[in-house]
Amino acid sequence: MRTETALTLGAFALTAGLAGCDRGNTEVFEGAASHVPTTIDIGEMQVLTAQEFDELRESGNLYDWCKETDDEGRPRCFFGQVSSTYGEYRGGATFTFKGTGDDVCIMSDPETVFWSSFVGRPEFNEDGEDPDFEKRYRDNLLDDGDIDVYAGLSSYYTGSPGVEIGDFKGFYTDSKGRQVELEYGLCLRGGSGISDSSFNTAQAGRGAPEWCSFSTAEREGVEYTVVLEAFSVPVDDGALSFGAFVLEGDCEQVQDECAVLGEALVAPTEEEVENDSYSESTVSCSTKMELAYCNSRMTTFCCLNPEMCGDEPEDPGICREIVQNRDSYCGEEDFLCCDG
Amino acid sequence: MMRNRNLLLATALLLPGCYSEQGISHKDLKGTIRLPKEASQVTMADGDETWEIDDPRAIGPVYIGVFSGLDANLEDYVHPEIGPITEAGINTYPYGGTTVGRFDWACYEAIKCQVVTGRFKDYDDILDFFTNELRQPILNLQGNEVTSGLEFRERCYEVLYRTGDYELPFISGDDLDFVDAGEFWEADIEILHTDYREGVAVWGWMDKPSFNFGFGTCNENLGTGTFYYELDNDFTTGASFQNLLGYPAQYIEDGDYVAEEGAVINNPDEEFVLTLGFENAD
Repeated sequence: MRTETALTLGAFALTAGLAGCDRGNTEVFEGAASHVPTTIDIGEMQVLTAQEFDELRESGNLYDWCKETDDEGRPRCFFGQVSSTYGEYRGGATFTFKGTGDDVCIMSDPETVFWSSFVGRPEFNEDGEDPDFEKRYRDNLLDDGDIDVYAGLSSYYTGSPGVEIGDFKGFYTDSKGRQVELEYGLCLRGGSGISDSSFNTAQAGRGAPEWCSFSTAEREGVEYTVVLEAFSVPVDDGALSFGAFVLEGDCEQVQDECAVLGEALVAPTEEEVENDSYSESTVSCSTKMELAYCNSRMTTFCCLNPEMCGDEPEDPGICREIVQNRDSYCGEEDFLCCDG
Repeated sequence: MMRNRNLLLATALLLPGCYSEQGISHKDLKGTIRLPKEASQVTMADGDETWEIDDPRAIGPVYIGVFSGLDANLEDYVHPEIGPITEAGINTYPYGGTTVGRFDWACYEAIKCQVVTGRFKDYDDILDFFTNELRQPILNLQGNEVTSGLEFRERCYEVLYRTGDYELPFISGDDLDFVDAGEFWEADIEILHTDYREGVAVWGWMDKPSFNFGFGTCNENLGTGTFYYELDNDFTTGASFQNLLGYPAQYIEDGDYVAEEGAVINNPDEEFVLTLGFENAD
């Protein structure tokens, strides 16, 4: 009888345990924006000149400036959103551009910014160094997405634009019948904290801009495909906003968060999508946060605008002096105060 | 008794379940590498002065790979078959490989990329070779010649945080790689865990030192960065280039000894002999 009871209990526990495994953890998210597509194809984009890149940075209405097309209907740059696929397939965005015969730089920046909170000694920077360097205010983890950039000749691309993201892998069968996977992707990548001149395969992490450069020598006019794979979608609205462009030359001049500003877009409502009435607008104060980040002023920014950052710092005292002199800080730089 | 019998029966039933054919085609290939005696002869030069050395301690690292096949039409020497030409270059996609000796940093910056494992018995052996054969005495940080194996050892233990010679790969004792086999220098090798298909070819080459005892397969900017207290003496320790077997033609230079034909492996349990008998001349 005792054995029978034990077996029954065991079977019950096993069944309950197995049932517990049958979940996708999707219930812990805010919910994907199901009306935002998971995979989009942007079409062909222009390759910006250095002068046009300066215009991009100074443009008053960024989104309209980007939408302006040339004679062939190609936009200058792109700001948009994709939602999560929940892992059934790979989602993201693709676009193409034509080789210039020289180096090109592909830049992509997912919303918004991410930083690690400082975990070292609080007195580390007492000798007059920039206290913002420490970034002791914690990041808001909920508003960050992650996009991984891949690019190569369109002839090697395996995906279906607008339907499913692919890659640039091929296979070579040697004389003994062994198959070897080949990488036809061309990206010499930057943006990761561990990237340098000799290590250029790492992807940048969450909220961080990622750029890729390569030569299109002897391939002027040949079509290249760029893949912006949605690696991680922000959980606060289920939509991953990003900005992207292609620039002539190497990526020397775009290597920071300031290269693409305003990529954190307000997610469209279902009605706006149905009526095709959505127009891009930036999440409140997110551009100022980006500016604070790329100017290394995050501690000051977070102290003055705590609603934009994550949890309180472990040492709330670091904000006391900053908050007391709020007007002075806000007058110093526009971007330091959301309401300024 | 009955309980034991049941236990035995259960064990017997379970054991076959532990065996599963995983289809892994990896093998350990064993064989012998032969180098012509001329491979240990180097013409050294210092300004107008030249001299000959003939010493097995001058044998450079030998790189051995296992390849799908060989092709005599790609280079001036027999070269492994190559895959498609991609942006990354021409790759041989080797199945496996090993070396007979490798670069190891022997504690002094001046001799980085010049000391190969399996060539020296002890510290005095290295000092003798650099002083009397290469005529490049090893200098310590003060610029004085290192004349004692004891000083050499002390320096190594201190800078590498070691406590025994067995921790230093460039000290081989009596276990040197190459032995005198009459017409050849010979070394036993084992290529562990190589992917295997019937008919694969073992092939390789020896990097012969130049007139100043430099090696084309060593990169002085690779290796470990020294984080020793000599802050004004910060440097990397040197290491061989990566992808040597993937892109051998990039590294094979004038004077290097290359296998003129590979050892084709039809039975991985049979030992092979590979002779690196072709002296490359660009």
